[in-house]
Amino acid sequence: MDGGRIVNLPGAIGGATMPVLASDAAILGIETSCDETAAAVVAGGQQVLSSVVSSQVDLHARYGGVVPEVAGRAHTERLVPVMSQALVESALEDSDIAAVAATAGPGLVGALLVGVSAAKALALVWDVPFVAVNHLEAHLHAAFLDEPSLELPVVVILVSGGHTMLVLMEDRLRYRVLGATLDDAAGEAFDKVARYMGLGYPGGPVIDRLSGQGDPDAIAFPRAMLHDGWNFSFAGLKTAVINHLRRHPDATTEDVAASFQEAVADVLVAKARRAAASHNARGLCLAGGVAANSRLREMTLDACTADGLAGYLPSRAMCTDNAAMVAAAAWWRLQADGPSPLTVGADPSLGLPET
Amino acid sequence: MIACSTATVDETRALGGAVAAVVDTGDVLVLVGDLGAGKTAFVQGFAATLGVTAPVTSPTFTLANRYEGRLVVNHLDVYRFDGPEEVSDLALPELLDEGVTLVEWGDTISSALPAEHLSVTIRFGSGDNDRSFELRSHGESWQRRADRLTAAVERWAPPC
Amino acid sequence: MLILGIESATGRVGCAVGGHEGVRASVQATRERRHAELLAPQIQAACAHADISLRDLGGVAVDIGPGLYTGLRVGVTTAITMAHALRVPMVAVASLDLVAFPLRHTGRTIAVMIDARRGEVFHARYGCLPGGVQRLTEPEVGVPDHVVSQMLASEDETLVVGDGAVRYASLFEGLRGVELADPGFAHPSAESLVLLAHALAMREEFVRPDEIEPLYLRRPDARAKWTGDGS
Repeated sequence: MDGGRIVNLPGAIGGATMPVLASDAAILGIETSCDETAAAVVAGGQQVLSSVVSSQVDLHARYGGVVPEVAGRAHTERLVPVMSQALVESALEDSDIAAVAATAGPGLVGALLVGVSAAKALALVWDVPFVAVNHLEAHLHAAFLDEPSLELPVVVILVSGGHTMLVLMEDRLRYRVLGATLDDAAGEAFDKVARYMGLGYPGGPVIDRLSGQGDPDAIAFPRAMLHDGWNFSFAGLKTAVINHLRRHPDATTEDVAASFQEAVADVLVAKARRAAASHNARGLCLAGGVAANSRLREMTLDACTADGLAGYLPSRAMCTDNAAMVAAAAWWRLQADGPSPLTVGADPSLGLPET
Repeated sequence: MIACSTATVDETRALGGAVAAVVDTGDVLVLVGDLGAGKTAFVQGFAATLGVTAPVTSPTFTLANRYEGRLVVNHLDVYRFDGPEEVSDLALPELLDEGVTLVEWGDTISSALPAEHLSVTIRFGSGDNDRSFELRSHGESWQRRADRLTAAVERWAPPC
Repeated sequence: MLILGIESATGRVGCAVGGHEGVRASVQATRERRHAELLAPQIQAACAHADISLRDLGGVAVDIGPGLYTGLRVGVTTAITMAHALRVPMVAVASLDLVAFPLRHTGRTIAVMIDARRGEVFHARYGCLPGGVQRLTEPEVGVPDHVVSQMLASEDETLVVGDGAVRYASLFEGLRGVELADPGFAHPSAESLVLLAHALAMREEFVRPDEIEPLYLRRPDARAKWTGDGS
């Protein structure tokens, strides 16, 4: 494959040439914002040539959560082999890579700077642009990799261990955050409830599994702010679960799990539906690690059927942290904004750039 | 030992805010209490006093949160840590040096924590929202501040 | 052989390029916790000043610590990624060695102390040899008082150096035969790294990028204490 390089248009004034990205330009993406070390090669912002994810979940399980220093050390150790594997699997040569992108935030600062440093190093060696990518923006692009025909605008339910937000995506780089959690992220609520019930870490998959054998209507847990704006609050739900277990120590674990999960999914989907209606969105889309939750997926699809919306449920691999979404977002950003300066650092509290 | 009691989550927040008035960079607070006892509410008030405007949640997913205000506030959760051996994985020296650090569930790993710290133990009271607090000074720098601390939290002294 | 040296183990971050004729260019800055922002532009600048391309490099050297964890991660990640992409070998040097190296002509024993925060230092002792220094003790983490008692026990004429030595300078005041080196020598430098690495490269003391491991020091110490090996 050639033509993947940035070419400068001749004749631009004052040397300020605008790079033109070949439509099949291959970008190496790197993701180290939390507990996954990932690298991927994506051509033209769409075609995933390789996507390698090395999960650290086993490293962190004993602590019951992600330990930032442990994550940073593991990224340093694993990133080079992961990048090599991504390149080998893409069947491209180093010289075919048109740009190198890395997640610059939000995330754990000591983890982010591993990916940012590696991406800059490669950009220098290969003499190609470096692109700093916003992790949340990357999640918004993930669904397109599974669903190239995704029709905009969509309302995206972005839910993970660190984030919970409702985003109206009008174009690839044009979106609005409609609402976000005021306290715990949805994934955090799963982890906390699982911890309190002694179910281990991470909490999402185990609660999902137990819920399959429980009655989601057994306990009427509160749906905070259900009819009130676009923001979320899950801290109260967590407390309600704890208070219930305190009063009913003999409660069936499966019923508590199912009722809790129902409350989370209910609020997320109800708000997304309303948002879709009031903004004339064509569909609902899931993103982030919690999007792997089976009840959330089911309710989203049911809502789409009922409301005549398209439902976009990316594969589990595209929901959780990966680098293909970073490379895809970078392709669009590079076209719109050009390369990022090498002086960009890691920004742990980077917000979604709203336009 | 200083005893305090609160009857609402807002009062717990305010108590945290009052304690923050006597802290400085390098200080360590150890918070002990069951899930739902109000440790996060305490930290929310504490961080607000120090000028943190970002929303403060408990560090369950990532076990160390960092907030920037007038001072840097580090909020750690070491609930599942088995012993001092695992504490070294937190890179505490660098964290502690750059801000005020609150450690949840510090009891299990107390031997790995700095000798100088204030421990805050929270217990459930009779009502759903009643909480009792025990503030204990450990080390010279906290002993020296005992009077200021007592005055700062006087409002929440339990009725005799 | 041209070598790029990457140094980020303390509050100072920098790089240098050089070879058999010495250091051709170096760039450094002391701005706490700006390692990730500064290093890549510094490498670009150093190569431009030295009038070389990264492709001209025959090796990449890196300070593997002990030191500031976040700083180390930036330097080590950058170095191993570059060496891997350039397909060149690497040289790993400990931060304490780099601080001792510029004082190799002093003739005295050198006690290096790098600030490890919270009242501790990373430290090691060195003797001077013709053209270099030799470690007398292995890098350790501990309280500065421990270094003081080592010095009192040895009775050697000792030069104390490093940002840890500067921080705890008061502990050495008035000690017989002990002198604090100029604070200008307090940080490991990228220049020393290139010079030392070139000497090691001539002896083919290379490591592969996948063999590079930062010296965090604290973790193995804690393990030793808790596995209860009877010591």
